[in-house]
Amino acid sequence: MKLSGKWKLKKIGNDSILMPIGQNALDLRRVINLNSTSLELYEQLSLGKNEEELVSYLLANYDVSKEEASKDVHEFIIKLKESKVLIDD
Amino acid sequence: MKIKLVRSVIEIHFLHEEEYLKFFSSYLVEDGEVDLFIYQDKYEEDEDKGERKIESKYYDLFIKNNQEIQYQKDEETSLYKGKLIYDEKSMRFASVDEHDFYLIILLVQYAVTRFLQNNYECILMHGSSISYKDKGIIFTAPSGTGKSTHARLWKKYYDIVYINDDKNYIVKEDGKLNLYGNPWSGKHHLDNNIIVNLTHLVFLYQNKENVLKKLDKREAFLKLMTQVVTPLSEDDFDKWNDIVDALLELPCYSLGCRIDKEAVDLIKNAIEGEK
Repeated sequence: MKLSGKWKLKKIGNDSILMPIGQNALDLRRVINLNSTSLELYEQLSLGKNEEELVSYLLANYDVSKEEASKDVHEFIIKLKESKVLIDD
Repeated sequence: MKIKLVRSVIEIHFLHEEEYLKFFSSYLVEDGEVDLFIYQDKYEEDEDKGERKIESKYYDLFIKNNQEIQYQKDEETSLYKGKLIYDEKSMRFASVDEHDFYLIILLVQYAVTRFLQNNYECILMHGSSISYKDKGIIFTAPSGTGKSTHARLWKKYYDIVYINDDKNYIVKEDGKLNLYGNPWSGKHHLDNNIIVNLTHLVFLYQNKENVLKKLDKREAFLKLMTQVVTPLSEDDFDKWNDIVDALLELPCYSLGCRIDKEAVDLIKNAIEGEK
């Protein structure tokens, strides 16, 4: 999977927002808000990291169980795929 | 004809120039080295349009031989009624009906906007703008909210100059944001060929009471996004982002308003009372 290029990360002060660009901006009139953890995961994805590596990232940086981390990462990825932020290779 | 917009001289070759002299009258110039040529051609539709990059209600944008070609659509039938070929130094357009005034000035506007975006730190923003004392204020809102009506109230009660009633070219230069007059000012043709330092953004909505609120950057951004032309591709994003960030540094207000002097005074007093 990879970032589709249909969204760009816009930082405003401490807020992080994904905004649609190009054709996507014409089709959608909405943005995706990222909280601090999802921003970190998004940044990992833009470095080309996969699902497994995202789980390891959460385990290394947060006090969470493997089950919780796997579930959170999986849900985050599904959400991004639904909005076509992420696409399959 | 030659016109001057922002700091560039643009030479436009219409098939029927006399039909456009009045529209561009405040912007005509005699001299100056030409920065952009725009030519009107007879309409021909290509069989092979290339790869479609953008599809919208108003136009489709194709890439063919590394050139971007925009086909303008009839909103009701979706049939193509004009086209525009983008190029660095010379843009070409054509319309099925070569006397279609509104389509032709629209195609010229697209060409000019693209040129300004490529050559300046420039963004196009929808809204009605005025110059009041040393301030440049844009009132913006979805169409039909009453931007023009609100600007007209200012004109009625205070000493203001209209900048443009519909489209605003905002240019970031020397660390400032400047609003440049342009002829594309909507159905009321209210515009002046002036340059004003942009100082305030006001997002309007209709309300039974007049309510003013200062917006934080996030709130302002979400409203602003729907009123500016957003980037067509990832490559255009950084430049766009830079000017949007500069816009968000300005004081931004939301004004729920009636059509009365109190609404005008509410925002006027807030602006004048800023530290």
